Amino acid sequence: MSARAADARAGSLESALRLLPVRAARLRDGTLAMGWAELRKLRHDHLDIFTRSVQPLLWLFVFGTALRHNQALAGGSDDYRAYLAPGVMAQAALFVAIFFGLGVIWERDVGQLQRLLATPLPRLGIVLGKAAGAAVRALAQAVVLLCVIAVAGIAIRWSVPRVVGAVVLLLLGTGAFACLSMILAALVRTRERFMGIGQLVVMPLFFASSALYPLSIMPGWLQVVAHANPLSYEVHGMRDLLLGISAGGALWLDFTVVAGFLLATALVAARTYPRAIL
Amino acid sequence: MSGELAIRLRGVVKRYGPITAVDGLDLEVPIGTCVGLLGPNGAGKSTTMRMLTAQSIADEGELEVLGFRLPRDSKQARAQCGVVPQLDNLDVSLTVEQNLLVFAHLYRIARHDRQAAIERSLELANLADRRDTRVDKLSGGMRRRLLIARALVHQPRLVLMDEPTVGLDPQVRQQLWALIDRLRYEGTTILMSTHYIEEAQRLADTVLIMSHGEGVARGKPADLVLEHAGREVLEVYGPPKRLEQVETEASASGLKTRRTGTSVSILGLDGRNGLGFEGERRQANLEDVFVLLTGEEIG
Repeated sequence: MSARAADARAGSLESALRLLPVRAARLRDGTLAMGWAELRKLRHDHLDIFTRSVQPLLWLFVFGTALRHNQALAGGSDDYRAYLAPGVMAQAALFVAIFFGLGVIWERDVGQLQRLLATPLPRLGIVLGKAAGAAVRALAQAVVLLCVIAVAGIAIRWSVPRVVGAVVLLLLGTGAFACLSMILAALVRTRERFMGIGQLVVMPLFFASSALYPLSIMPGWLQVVAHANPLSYEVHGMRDLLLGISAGGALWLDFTVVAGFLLATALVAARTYPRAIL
Repeated sequence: MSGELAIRLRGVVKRYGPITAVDGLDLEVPIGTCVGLLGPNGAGKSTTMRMLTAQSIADEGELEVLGFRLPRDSKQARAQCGVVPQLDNLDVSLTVEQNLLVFAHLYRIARHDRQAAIERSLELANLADRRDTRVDKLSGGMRRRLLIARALVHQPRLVLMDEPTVGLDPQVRQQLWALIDRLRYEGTTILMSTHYIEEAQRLADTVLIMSHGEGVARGKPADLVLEHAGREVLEVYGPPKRLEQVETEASASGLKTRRTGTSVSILGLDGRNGLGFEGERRQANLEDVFVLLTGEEIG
């Protein structure tokens, strides 16, 4: 390597470091602005939140009530519905997140994505902004579900730090699955194909996790799959916080896995999503 | 850094598979001027616009925007550019003011300047009394004005407009011309693509005529007209046979002609008698130049 090339490399590293705070600030502002816009839009979308809440409520009150006194499923809780509640919250958010890619493809089709690409927002900012949008929707849904759980008298631990912690974990997970969805959108590119692949991804993620039942009742091979599934960690952490049930895992591990998954999917999505989809 | 130029393109090539959309384009936009890219659909105007915001990466050639090399420094360049897209991509479920606010954040206008920036844009686009209206309740013309206002909210040094008035009715088009003209007088540098001859003639200081991805002529609209089509044109109507005859005789006398669908125009007549043909005398215009140079009719 010539001395000049080395100089140039050092120079570009230096300028990269110098620009880092600016880039970080741009990333933060862009992500927040996009999340804020999504929050504004939600105000016109009451029906959407309501209709999306129906499915998780069916799981909770039909499926959950039918198996209410099944001790094996309840994983150490007295009431299977309580055990199920965090899983259903995570599942509802998962569905929002995974089908987020559909909206992303639609935005490409109507030119909304191009609007963002013309701004100085970094690619990662676009991805995180979108993820924040999905998280905002998941948050609204979580609030609805928590209210129903409270009214129905399902016994979870109502302490502010615990509920906030569980919601934070839920939002991190939703952001990560939304990034995964953007990667899928970049791969399939059309809405029709996305519908198929979305179903293909979402159901295995849901069933091969601890959302509906404890890992301990699964056959060995499924346990292995479920241990590799970030949704299991998300649900495990929420259960730990909301119910005080820890099936042998540590809360810090749950947060680490989910945050790591978010980081990984966001970085991959920033590489694949905005450009590949055009 | 290229001194006084807001945009400098040298030998830019962009291919999509076997199709060469832009083929060795040179383009210069001096600071403080309005340059029009004029060409029919498919001439490479939109591809050029996309390359200037680095949404599309050139295969060959050099691109410089506001002194920044593309695509390497495209983020810095984009931060100082405003883009008015061809497609209306406003956030329809937000209000006028909220659309501007989101962009004020995306372009990182400092908190204490934000409201003033939004007010200035609203005033410029004449939308101040509509600030709380949701975008899907606006008329087509208002939405177009808002698109322009959104591109101006961070006071960009350069504004890129991709067919800003495409598909609009004449009154709305004139409103937008007035708005763009005002920006010109305020000294904003503008690059505008269009396939409306009148638009280029009215608004652009200089025009680059594009055809099949190449620049075929450039200059002030009036100079181009004078150079290629002269001052005066005779438009002769008649059956196809007669039109052919007009073309043959004109070319024998060293005069240029161009077809206009139902007529043939003899260009550069400038006081001469018109070879004995009867027709309508009129002033030469940019459309004559365009059809002469590209052989294409314009939409």
